[in-house]
Amino acid sequence: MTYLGLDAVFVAVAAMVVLVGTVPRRSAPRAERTGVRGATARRSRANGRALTNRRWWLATAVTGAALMVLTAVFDTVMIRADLFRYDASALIGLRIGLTPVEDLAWPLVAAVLLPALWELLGRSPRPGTSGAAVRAGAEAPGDPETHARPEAPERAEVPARPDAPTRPLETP
Amino acid sequence: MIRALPGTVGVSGLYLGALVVSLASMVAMDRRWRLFLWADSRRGAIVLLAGIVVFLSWDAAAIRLGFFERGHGQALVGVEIAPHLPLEELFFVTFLSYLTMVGHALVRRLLDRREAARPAGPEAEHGAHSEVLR
Repeated sequence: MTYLGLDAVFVAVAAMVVLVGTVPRRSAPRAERTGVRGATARRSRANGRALTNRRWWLATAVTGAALMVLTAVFDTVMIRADLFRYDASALIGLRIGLTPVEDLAWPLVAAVLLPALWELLGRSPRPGTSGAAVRAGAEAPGDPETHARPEAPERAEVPARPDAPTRPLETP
Repeated sequence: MIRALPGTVGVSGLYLGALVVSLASMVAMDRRWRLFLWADSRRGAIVLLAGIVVFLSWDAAAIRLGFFERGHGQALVGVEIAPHLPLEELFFVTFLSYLTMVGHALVRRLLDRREAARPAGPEAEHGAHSEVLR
C-alpha cells in the first residue's frame, strides 16, 4: 500500500458519512412540520438535512479550499523545519512546495467529515426547546436557538417589549 | 505564525508553542461568536473527539506502514506519545479539527447572512439573519 492508498481509505470513510446523511428521508418533512418529539428515528433522519443544502456544500468547499492552501504552505514550512519525514518510496512524488499532494487528503477529509458529523448528530436536547429544536435541527450552527440560551441574556436587552413605547403607535 | 527557515528554528518547543497559540485563537473565536463548542458543547465535543481519533488513526497507520517518521528538527520538544508520533501531533490534530469547525461555521454564517440580505427566496425561510458577527 502507498500513502495515496491509505488516503483513499479515509476519504471513503468521509464519503460514507456524507452518504448516510444524504439518503432520502421520506417522513422527515412531516416530522419537522408537526414538531413530533421523541421519535429518535425521525429526528435522526432530519438531522442530516443540511447535507443536501447548497449553502452547506458551498461552506464545505470554501473551508476545504482554505485548509488545503494552509496545508500546502505550513506543511512546506514544517517539512523544511524537519518536524517529520516521509518515506519517498511510498509517495507518488508530486509535491506543492515541499508538501506531498497526498497530504491534501487531510484537509479534504477534515472539511467534509467533521461538518457532516456535526449535522448528523443534530442539536443536543436542551430544556425548554421542544419541537423547535427538531424543526431547525439541520440548520445549525447559525440559527436563533443557539443564542436563546440562558448564558446569553444580554441579547434580550434591546428588542421591543409589549410595554415598550412603540406600542401606542400600533393601536388604532 | 512561525517562520521556519533553516537556522531560525532552534528553539525547542517552538512548534508546540505555535500550536497552542493557534488553538487558543480558535477557542477565542469560538467563544466570541459561539461557533462550535460554544454553540453546542455536547455535539462539539463528539465531533472534536472524532476528529482527533480519525487523524491520530491516520497517523498511526501511516507510521505503522512506514510512510511517516519523526523528524529531528530542533523546534520539537522531543517527547513521543508513541514511536515516531511526537507530542505535538496530538495538538496538531486537535487544532486541525477545531480550525475546520470554526472555519466552516464562520463561512456558513456569512453565507446565511448574505442569503438573508437578499430578497426572500425558497431558502430564506430561517431567521439566520439575526446572527451577526459583531
